[in-house]
Amino acid sequence: MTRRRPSLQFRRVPGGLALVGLATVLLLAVAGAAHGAEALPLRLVSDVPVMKGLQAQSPVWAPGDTPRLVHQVTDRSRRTWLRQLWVDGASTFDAIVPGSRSSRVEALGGAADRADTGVAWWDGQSFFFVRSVGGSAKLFYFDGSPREVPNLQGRVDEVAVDAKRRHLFAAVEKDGIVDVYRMSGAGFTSEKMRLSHSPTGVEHSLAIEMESGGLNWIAATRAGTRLGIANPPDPDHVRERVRVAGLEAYELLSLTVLQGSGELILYARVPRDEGSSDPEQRLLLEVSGDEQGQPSMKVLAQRVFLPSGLAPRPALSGGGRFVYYISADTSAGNPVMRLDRTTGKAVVLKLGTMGNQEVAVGEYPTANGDSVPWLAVVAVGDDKGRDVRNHLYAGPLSAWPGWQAGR
Amino acid sequence: MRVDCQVRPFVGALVCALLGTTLLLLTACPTTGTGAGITSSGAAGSSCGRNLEADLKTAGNRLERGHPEEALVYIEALRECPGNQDSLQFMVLASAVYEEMGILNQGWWALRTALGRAGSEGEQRERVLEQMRRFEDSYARLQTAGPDSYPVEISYLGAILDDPTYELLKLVSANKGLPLDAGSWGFWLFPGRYEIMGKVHSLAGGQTVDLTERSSR
Repeated sequence: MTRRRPSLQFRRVPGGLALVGLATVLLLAVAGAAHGAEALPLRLVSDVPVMKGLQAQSPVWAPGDTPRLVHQVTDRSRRTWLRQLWVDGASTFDAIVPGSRSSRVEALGGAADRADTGVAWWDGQSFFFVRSVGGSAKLFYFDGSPREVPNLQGRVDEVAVDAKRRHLFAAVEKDGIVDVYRMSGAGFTSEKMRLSHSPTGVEHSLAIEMESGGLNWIAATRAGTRLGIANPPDPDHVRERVRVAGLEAYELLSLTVLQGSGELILYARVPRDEGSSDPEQRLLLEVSGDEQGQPSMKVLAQRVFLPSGLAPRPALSGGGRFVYYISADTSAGNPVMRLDRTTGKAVVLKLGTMGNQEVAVGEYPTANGDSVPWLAVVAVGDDKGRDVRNHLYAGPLSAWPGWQAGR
Repeated sequence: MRVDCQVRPFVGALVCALLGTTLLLLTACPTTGTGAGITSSGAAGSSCGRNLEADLKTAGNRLERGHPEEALVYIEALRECPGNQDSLQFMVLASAVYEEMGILNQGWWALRTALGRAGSEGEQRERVLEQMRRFEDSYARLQTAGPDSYPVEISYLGAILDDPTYELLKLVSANKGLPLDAGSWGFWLFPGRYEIMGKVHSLAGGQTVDLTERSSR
């Protein structure tokens, strides 16, 4: 475990460079003032020795009272493992998820070729994740030690946990067939129910409305993607295809469900003709139901940037009032936007990061009960302009006791 | 002991593996046939006539190939043979096998015994000490007042209770601990969340819960 000192790091710099730096700072300050917004207090949290030469991606905030996240760490060979990061006052702490629970195997570089992905928090301190090694993809649970979920047949693609922590939902591939399953009982594998009807694939999309327990997912078929729902989550209540006018024009990539309302926020793209050289068009969509339960669709944002590979989930705060996304505007460094769904207005968040790739949001309560959104942003380059790897930045969007003092 | 979300399917597979390997071991041995040699009850005549070095090599290979359950059969069979526990090589391998099987307390016992066999200085001793440091950093320690103390009430609070953790908790509940260091007694546990004597602990590797006072009679 490593611990970052909260204090500023002072370095000796040549006088000329210092002047240039000062001028740049002044310029940025003026530019910030001109836009009427101060830079938000994001902090580079991936400049620790264990991250040397590695890239950060896919942050997932935990539930609970302590700002805590897990993100993927990837090396040049695409080997991937997980790193936990949590905040206490002004300080951040981190720990890598070991490859094995055996100290001997770990010392020998155990499961070094692993690809750890698909984090689903179980509670504020522990989570499930998928570990792929040598062609297998198994489900693990981590609460300080990686523990394999036994007796799970097939390759696990993704997993989600319901609010009452009675069920695990997983997209599992067995004998070349992918399905969504509800798992419960001893070890979550003794009772297994199939919810989908063998689509060709399931996108990174399992999302649970915690009050009703309803499960949403995106199924991929040869004819395109479609929205599936099981509410309540049992085989008798499955709707393989939720019909929404206009939605068939898009290829759905990932989704988040709004707790309480069941509305969906989705990332999607406009399908292109084969061989087309047109730039890919990505959007942020909303699917909600009217009083009769008839679902309708709305485009929330266009020209959305998404990183290559699995699309992250749309990030929300304020009970779904605010939606965060990255604008595909390279001239402005792909800024992180915050859309207020009540007004329809989007503002640029001044984060001090450039080349933003991903944004994730978690909300945590302060001692006086205020809910503070915390941002985790994957962006290109560190805060000193030293390299062009994907780094991770994190911080609260408003005052958080101790955090600002630590800068 | 309260056990939530218990998972015990691994036991069946382990028993099968052990039986299979036992058969393998017995049939591979030209001097046996009774089958009694692989128990740890002491009737190890069949295994004890075997070449220790060769068996350790085989067990080591099984371990390296990711079959610690097969290596364990060898270790258990060899353990009771006169003189084997005097072998540093045996104790070091035994500790690795026990640890990998999640039998942490036995692993620690083997390491401590190995340290006693490694002499007072030299490379071998350093290697064992390094292994002990790694072990201590990786697992959590539950310290109690000793074999005559009150048993500790413990339960696992995580989502997946695996077999090795279940077995470790059984040992704690039955107060079957071991000397951890000179003057301390107790158990090793995997990091994780536990309720110990009514209090929730998130145990990390290298952490100690000292119940010496609370558990003393």
